Amino acid sequence: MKTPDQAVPVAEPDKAPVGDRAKVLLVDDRQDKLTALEAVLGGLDLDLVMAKSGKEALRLLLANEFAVILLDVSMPVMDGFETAALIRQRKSSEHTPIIFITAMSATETHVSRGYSLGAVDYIFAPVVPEMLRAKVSVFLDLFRKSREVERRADALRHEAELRAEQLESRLESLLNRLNVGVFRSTPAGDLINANPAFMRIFGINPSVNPATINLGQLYIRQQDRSELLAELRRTGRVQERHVRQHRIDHSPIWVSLSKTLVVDSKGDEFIDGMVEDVTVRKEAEIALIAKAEELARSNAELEEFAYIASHDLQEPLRMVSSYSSLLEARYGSVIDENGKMFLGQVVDSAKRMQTLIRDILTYSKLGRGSEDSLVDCNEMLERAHFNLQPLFTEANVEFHREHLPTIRGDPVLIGQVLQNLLGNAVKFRRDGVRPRVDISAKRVAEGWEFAISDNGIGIPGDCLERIFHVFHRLHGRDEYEGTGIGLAICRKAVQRHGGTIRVESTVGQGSTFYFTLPATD
Amino acid sequence: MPTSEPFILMVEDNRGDALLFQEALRERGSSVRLVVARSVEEGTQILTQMAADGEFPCLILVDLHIPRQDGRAFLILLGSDDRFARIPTIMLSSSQREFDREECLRLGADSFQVKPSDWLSYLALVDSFKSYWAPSV
Repeated sequence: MKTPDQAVPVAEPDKAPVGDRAKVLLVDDRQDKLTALEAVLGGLDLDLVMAKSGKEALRLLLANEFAVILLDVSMPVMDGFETAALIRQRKSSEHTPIIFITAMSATETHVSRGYSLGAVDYIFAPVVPEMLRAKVSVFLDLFRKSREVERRADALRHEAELRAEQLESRLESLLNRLNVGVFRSTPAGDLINANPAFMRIFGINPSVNPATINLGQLYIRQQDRSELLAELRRTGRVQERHVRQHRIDHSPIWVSLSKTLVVDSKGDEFIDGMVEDVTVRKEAEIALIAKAEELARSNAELEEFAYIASHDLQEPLRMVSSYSSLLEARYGSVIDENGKMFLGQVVDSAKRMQTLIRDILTYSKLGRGSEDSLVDCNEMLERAHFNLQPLFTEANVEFHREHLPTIRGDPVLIGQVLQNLLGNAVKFRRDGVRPRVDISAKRVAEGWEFAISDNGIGIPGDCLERIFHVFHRLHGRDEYEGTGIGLAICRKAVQRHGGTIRVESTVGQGSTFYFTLPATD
Repeated sequence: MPTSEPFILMVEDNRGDALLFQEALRERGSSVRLVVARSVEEGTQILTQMAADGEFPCLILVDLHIPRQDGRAFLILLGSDDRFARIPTIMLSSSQREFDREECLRLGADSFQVKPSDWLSYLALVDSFKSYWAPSV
């Protein structure tokens, strides 16, 4: 028999270890009742604790957690109901199941009062042992199960914490290895902590106390700082902004800075940030932009120069052909055939030079953004054909044309390409063979592939690429007319549209020129 | 209106062009004097001097690309002076750039001609002047 003051558990063999067993509180002022209860419940796997009064019960509740409380309703001083009320008031025993034991025949009000006070069940004396044991067992079970759940929850929580820690340290070491500086500072910029990568980026000795550093020192232009802070206040964050800062030794660097404003549970504000040294990247970018500008400038200058040069070059040529023709007109009667022929050479040369200059100018102007529009290639072909009419008629060309698509591009350039290629197809015809020229287009991945084929003299295999070079001529000046720029112009024009040009040819049989232009869709 | 012999003022710094035009005039039997100014300055001087004597050109030819002062500037000068504003003014250029033509017409030139590159075209040019701009040529 235990004294009421001791909460000493009853040790039972083959049961749960002492201390781990569920406890049940028996409250009754009559010892004989307690003994009886003890007898009924003694066989179960639990520790019985006795209290002789409500007051004692409450005291015991301070130090112990019970699976269920068996409460006698009729007790002197503080009856069961009062005790139950007080038990329920305590947070620790708010939900502890209470079984009222009453001798009285239960009247409804009596019972309902009990339930309203938080009783879970009633047992009527005389106690039926099996019933009491069964009821208590249910609560025991519940108690054990909820304790198990709690244990599991704790274990999971602990594991989660462990994982979080591991992740954090992995992240930290990763950021350090990748030279990503991480820091926290006050809104005023006083550094609170910073990782080793941060220190490295700014050349700060790792032994230096971070609190001695204010981030404002690192900015080259304070204006940058205030702008970023304003954005931080406005949107709550700053993302990957490139700023010029300097290291502790004042050497300048470019950094990529990201910051967020955070508020901790106490309401204090902090700035958490990440910083990376992007000096190399940034300087390359700046150099690239400068180069691009230089290129644009130089291109503009070149165009200007080309225009002026061609202009000034045309002047003397005009004089040569004008005066030669004047000479012929005025002194033709005293110049013999040879003389006239000589003059003819002079005039021809001048004319050739003029064409050459015009072609060079055209070639040099290609590639300057001109206006793009929808170009009906059939129309352009019509015009090219019209321009070449005399040639076509003279050579008695058999011309086959298929329907051509409409593409987006520069109509002038497209027209030039068509005219050049058509002209070549006829120009380089075979003696004694009626020239035949075919033009068609088919849809390919890159857009449209145009094909202009002829049955002319063909091009040797080793020249198929070179003919597109400026001034490259396969034949002597006397054999075939031309400046040698025509195909170079074609290539540049096609390239300007993002297309390509090539030729397939067999000497003595003919050539087919293929060029691609982007489709409109 | 001019009472004495008509003359054509040509503002052209290229001697070769001036000479060719002269020859073309002679070929077409024109008795008109060709006065050549090598710069806009000179041209303005000549105009003012002749005007003081009551003489005005029946035709003014201006090279667009005359150095030092652009041919365009001369056009503006002419247009602003009542005495000269109504004299037919033709711009000459070896350039075919479209905007040149439109700009000159906008500035008050009466026509824009591309300089010829052979003798026959020069003759044709003179013919066109005779028939259209200045019958007295």
